[in-house]
Amino acid sequence: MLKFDNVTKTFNGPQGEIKALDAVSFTVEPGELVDIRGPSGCGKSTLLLTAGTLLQPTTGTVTIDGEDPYALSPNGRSALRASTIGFVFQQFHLVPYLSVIDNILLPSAVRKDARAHDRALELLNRFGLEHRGHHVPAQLSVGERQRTALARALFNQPKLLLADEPTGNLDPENGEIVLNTLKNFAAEGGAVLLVTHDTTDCATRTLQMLNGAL
Amino acid sequence: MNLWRLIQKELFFRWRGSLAALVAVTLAAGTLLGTLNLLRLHETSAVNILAEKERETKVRGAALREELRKATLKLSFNLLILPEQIDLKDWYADQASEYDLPESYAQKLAESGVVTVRHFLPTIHRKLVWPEQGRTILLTGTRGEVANLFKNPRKPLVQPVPEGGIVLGHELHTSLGISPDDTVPLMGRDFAVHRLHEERGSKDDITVWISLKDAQELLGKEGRVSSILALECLCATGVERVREEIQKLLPGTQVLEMGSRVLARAETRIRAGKETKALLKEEAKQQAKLQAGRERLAAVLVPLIMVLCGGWIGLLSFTSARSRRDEIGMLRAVGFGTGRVLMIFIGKAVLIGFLGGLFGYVLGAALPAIFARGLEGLTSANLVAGWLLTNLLQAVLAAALLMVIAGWIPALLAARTDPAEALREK
Repeated sequence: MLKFDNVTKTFNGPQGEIKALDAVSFTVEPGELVDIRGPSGCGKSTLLLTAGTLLQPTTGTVTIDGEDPYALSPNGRSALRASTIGFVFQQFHLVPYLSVIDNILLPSAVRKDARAHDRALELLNRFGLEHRGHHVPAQLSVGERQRTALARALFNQPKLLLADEPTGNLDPENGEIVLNTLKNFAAEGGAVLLVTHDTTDCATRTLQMLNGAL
Repeated sequence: MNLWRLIQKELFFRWRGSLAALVAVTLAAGTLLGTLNLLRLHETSAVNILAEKERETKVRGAALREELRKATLKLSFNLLILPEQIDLKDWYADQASEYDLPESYAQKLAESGVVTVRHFLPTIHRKLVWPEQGRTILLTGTRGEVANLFKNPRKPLVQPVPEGGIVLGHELHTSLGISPDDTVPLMGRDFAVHRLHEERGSKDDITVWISLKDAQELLGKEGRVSSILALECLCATGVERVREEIQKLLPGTQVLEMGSRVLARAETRIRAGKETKALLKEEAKQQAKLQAGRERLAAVLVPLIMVLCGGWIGLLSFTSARSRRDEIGMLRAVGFGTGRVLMIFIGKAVLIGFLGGLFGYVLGAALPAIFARGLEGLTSANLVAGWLLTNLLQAVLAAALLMVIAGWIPALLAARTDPAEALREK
């Protein structure tokens, strides 16, 4: 599903070139939940954004569902993200002026779906947010925000779920809900790439990252 | 979920910024439309003032012409037809003579087709001593005008004295203590006072007017008159021809021309007309100068306000784009392309532009109408003429265009935001 082949990403900083990803190669197959662990600043988020087609690698190839997203046009990459990839971030990145249900429905602004509303209600119920549907993010608890973000990530039924420290800001109970969701998604045939600096036992495979290299 | 809903929600969420942009664009559209409306109202006012002055001038001119028309009679202008035996020296001294003409000459003249004369007035004059009062008077018998059948009917120049009635000059009635309701004896007959004239400072003050018929009877001159006035020959070039026509038609007459004074009057009138035209021209020039001044001021003020408002909107758009980087990053992550992100910003700009255009239209139509209320020459219809559908469309389109132009670069910057960078910032 996801393949990194000798991927390098460098940034030019004030103190010279920084190698955020250093010849990274790995794969995530459908049904797998791959956990990439490492300390802060080791390049985990860069790896996730590269996998999410948001950050073009300097060298090497990324393949998603058999296709190199960076060979596509920007609009083609946007379409690929809309159809194939779901994101969950530590900071949730909810749209502050949209209600919970509208945040979940956000991907439907790109991919029209006649059943969009039903699916959003389904996800609301699944994540225990049915009573929060018309609340805006500022009115939610931290856990509810992350569950909303998770519901949004799953809305388009992606094949690949990218999660960047999704439990970082959560209490253990909500953290478990999130991890179980990711586990179930993988169990249902999805591919999950999880980056975290915590220990988790839900991964099917764990990769250690240090200074941009696995 | 669609872009419209997204724009709408964001608009209300960041209401302060939206309101500030709305105020700016309303101000810009209102200023543009208001200035145009105010200029138009000033122009209409100037046009109306000029039209009113022209109308007044025409009315005054017509009144003046009418006055002059009557004044020519009082000045004995026109052609005076006298018996040829009259010695003009005596005539000029006494304004009366023993000689006379057939009264039928007047009718003959009227029916003759002497087309350049509008009125004929047969009269009989005698300088005599008023037997009952022992006063020298000028007795005038008049019957009113003989209509010229070949000309357009005109208002009579003189009011005839009815039979049995008498009209007295100022000196006579004041010195003799005659009142309007009195009956006055004259040459053995009683006459009811018909009118008592105001002072004229001429021989009229010692003149007595009675009807032609009464005068002819008193003087034993039935069917005879002393003179016939051919009135209203204002064209100097035509006078000679009229004189010839009359002399040919009425043998035994002489025709006096008293045109020099009327020519002077006519020239004065023409000169007055020219002066009025010049004044009107000067007024028009002055109004045009004022309007040009206003247009020059507007040509500076309007672009200045547009630029300031545009700058304000641009700054607000830029601030909005900066504060929405995280959101833009997320939108890009869920599959929004740069075009869609651009549409979100431009859509919001257009929406605020439409609203601002609508408010600007109201502002731009209402305020000039209020400011211009005191302007001379404006009707209430002129004041409400700014409420036009085309003005509304222009205001809405101009405001939306201003919003798009001012917000374009910030929107483009937002659309081109690197999503990875934006998401990592938080």
